Amino acid sequence: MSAPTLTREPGARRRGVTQRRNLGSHTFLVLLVLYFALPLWWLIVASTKNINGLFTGTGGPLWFDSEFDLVANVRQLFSQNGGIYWRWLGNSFLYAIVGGVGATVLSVLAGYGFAKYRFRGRNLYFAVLLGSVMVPLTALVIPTFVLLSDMGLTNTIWAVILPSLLSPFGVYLMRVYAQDAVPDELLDAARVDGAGDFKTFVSVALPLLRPAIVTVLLLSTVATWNNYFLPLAVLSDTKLLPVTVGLGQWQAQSTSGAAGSQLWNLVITGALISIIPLVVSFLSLQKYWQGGLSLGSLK
Amino acid sequence: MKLKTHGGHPNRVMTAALWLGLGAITLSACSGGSDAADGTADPAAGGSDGTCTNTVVNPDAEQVTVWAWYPAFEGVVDLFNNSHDDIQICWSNAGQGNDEYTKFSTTIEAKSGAPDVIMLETEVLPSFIIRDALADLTPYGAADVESSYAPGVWADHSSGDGVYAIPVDGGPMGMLYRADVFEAAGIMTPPTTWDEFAAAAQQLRDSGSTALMTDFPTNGRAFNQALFAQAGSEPYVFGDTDSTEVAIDLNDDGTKKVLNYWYDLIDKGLVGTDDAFTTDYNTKLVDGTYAVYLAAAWGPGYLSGLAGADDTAVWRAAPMPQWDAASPVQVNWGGSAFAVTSQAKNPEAAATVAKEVFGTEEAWKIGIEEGALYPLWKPIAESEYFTALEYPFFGGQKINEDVFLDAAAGYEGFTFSPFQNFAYDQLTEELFAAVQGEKSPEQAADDLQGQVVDYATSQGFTVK
Repeated sequence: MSAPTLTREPGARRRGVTQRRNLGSHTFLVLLVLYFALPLWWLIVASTKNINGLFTGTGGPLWFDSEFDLVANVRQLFSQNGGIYWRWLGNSFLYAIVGGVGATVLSVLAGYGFAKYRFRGRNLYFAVLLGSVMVPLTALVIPTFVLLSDMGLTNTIWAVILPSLLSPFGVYLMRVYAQDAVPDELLDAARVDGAGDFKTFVSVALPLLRPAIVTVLLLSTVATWNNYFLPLAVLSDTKLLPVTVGLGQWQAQSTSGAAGSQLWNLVITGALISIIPLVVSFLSLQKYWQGGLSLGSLK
Repeated sequence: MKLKTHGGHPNRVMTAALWLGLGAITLSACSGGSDAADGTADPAAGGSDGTCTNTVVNPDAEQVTVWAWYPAFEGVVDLFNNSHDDIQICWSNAGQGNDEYTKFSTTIEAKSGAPDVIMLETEVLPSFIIRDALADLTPYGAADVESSYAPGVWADHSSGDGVYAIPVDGGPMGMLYRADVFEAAGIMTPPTTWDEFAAAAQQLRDSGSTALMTDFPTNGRAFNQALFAQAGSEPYVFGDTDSTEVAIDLNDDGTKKVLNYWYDLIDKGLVGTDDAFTTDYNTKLVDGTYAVYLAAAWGPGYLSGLAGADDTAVWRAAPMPQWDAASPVQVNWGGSAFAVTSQAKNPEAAATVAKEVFGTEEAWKIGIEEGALYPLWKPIAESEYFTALEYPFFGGQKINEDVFLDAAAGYEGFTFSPFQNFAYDQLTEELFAAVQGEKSPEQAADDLQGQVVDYATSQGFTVK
């Protein structure tokens, strides 16, 4: 062993350890990536197959078949039941956007009110709200159905939109954020300058709340987009279904259907297309999404 | 810096939201356009009631709402509406099987929102009858159509003195097999008894074939139950007099005999245990892994839907193997019926729909050719058209005449329990435990019996 090596040894060892650690964590991460990406890869590959290819194809489940039928599948989505798939997709957009925006508006108003106004019973109401965060939407479906049915709203778009407008978690998030992001001093200053409550809210508070608003908007939109059980219970008209329930119906039809009614290829291609809007919105809004995720742990 | 970043958000977010919104508008516009352009593909565009999937021909007539999931139902509904001036069907597909039952249950709880007429699988009828969700059709002329159905079938849709649904399609069972795989193994005639079946399975293995004889799915539910019934199992006595009393016998000798038979074949590796209706199962059905598909009469339709037309496989149909060839027992797997709900606005009109919608030859030709349904309506089942129907998928074999008509004629009925879903879930669990080697087949049947009896008692039934 020569002197130079000796003098360098501490650094070298550290680098070696770091590299080894890197190798370990990298392997782990690569495995995780494979684990998470594999279903997506399967979906992409499977959506290029026709029904025969799906079950008897030469490529196996994780590689392409000799025939490439993605275009044919998409075309069939346009023709099957008069192209109802696109109607479902449109319904999903409608429910997700109206439900998401509405839930956000209500959450901002309620959260700001909780954070900045003192009124009798505030803590009690907030405790009730926190409690309702714990109740899953699924458990509320039957009471919701009874309410809607009394109002004659079942089997209409309102049966999906109205319940989606309520987001206790969004209110909670907005309150926590508003409490710290909007300093009381700033509101006092606005009042001294002669601004009313509404003016203060719109021009002083809202700009400060923007990151939280984006987060709540994304969360509630995605929640409505993915909702399955509520529309399943309250809608029976095929033309009002969102894409989740519509594809579920096609799948059920395929498991017991006869020759002409097996739509495995459409279920898979339809599923692929239905995740594209979510993937796009996740990727393009990634920055805000990540910021939002850390919100809860902010304080 | 931080403020600046925040300042950047709203514009881009607004843009994104706008973009999404535009997308939604464009898409709905697209589908709206195709509706208008293609009125025949989506007849609702021309219908008077926006919630019907079909066209209502005569808008002044009494409308009866129907939930049904047959995809081939569209033509059947049109036939009915075109031939009835006084009653019109307004059809919607509210989902299949459990999806629809969940929805129906919700409407029962809410006491509103149910359709007038609902398609139900025969096996769930008792579950809804005890909830008073279905109307007794006796006052509405159910007896008029009784002679069009076999006695065993009619019994499946009755409870006590009441008739609660009009039968539509059934699932008499037969054996579909790969003649080419059998032949390669030197099996020249299909097995007619279960002993021959086991011997053929062994012969298949000894010939060096990689194929398994068949699959014994632990989640077969009605399929497994049918196999037990063939060996004499009658697990439930229910509905004859007092609807709070039920007799349960899930661990009788017949059940245990069948279980031991299959677990022996599984032990020897001659039979697969894939879950039914999974992608693996579908693949193995069509790629030759299973030489035999023990199927109901709707099975050929399912199979040919998976396999398409390009296969070199040679499929043939034969009767179900029997325990005793001298006294064959025929069993049934699946089937559906139309019931009138107790929320029906006009039960008489609803009963007319239930009785007549599948009461013509034209309707049944659609059901048979497009839906691959097996008709329980005797005028069509016994017609020359149906008996002589040749199936290209089976090389032109007349499978109805050869197999399914006899199977249907010999079927004597089966009593389901009012908690059939629970019983099936437990059955699946116990069969799986036995396949995993956690318990013996006998133990599995005994445990099943105990669980179902406990459940029935906890639900307020008197178990005899």
